[in-house]
Amino acid sequence: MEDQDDSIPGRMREDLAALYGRSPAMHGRVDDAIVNAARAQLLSRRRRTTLYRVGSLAAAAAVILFALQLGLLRSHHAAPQPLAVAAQDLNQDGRVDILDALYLARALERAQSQASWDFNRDGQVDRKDADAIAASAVRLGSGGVQ
Amino acid sequence: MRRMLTGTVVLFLVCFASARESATSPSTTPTSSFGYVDLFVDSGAKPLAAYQIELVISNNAAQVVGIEGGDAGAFSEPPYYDPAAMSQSRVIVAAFSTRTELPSHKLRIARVHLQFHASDRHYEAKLITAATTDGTRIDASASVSEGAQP
Repeated sequence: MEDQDDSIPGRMREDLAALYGRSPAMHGRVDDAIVNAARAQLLSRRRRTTLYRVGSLAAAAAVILFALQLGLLRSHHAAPQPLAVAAQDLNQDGRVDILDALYLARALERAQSQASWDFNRDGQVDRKDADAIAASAVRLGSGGVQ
Repeated sequence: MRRMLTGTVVLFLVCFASARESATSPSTTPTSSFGYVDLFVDSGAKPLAAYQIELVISNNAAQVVGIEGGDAGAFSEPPYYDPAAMSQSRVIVAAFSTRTELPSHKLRIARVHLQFHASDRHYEAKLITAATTDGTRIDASASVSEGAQP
């Protein structure tokens, strides 16, 4: 079946045929196949581009989430604990230092400890709680020392 | 995509080249050595029941690698310190004792082992607090002395 373009006027078609001879037979199926192949290639490229964009966005989102989580964790670790610090300030001099540990140790020897001094939360007030205060006192960057 | 690939290849080549260079060129960093400093507290005539000292090494000339206790007696056990101070040039040490027999005057309370990175080293021992038997604060002084290197 010869594929003829109806948009070309009949007269022009005849002149062109006279000038160049009969146009080669071109089946519509070949034309369709070329168009389909081109569409498929274009679609494949679009898919790759979309995949790349989605991947990049996902990676960026992951990096941002990771950074946020890290920041939150750091701020959590660095967050001052005024209640805990105030609780460990047993001699009430406004700061937690080794003297508070000594205070607790001396109170233990006199059997004058309080239940609220269970700083390591093991259910009993003992020397380990004095150790916990001392550990707080020597912590670098604790801010509770100075 | 092609640009990313090219960038990755270039980055890899740069890293590879720098790694080769650092592996082949002679090291210019000074060789480190080890030593220690002794920390002292002088409580005068009053018995020392607790102390807290901050040791600072200027210019990162040395870093802390270990801490042990002081002279035999109430403070012979290693003091409290933050494990995070290891490999740093600053550490806070503290200890207390509820013994009845407590030392007075100048006492070596701790030995801090260091890895030296520079020959020009300067140490500062800041006394944060010190107390006597009943827990009251006392006027005391802290000092630091570099020990002889092996």
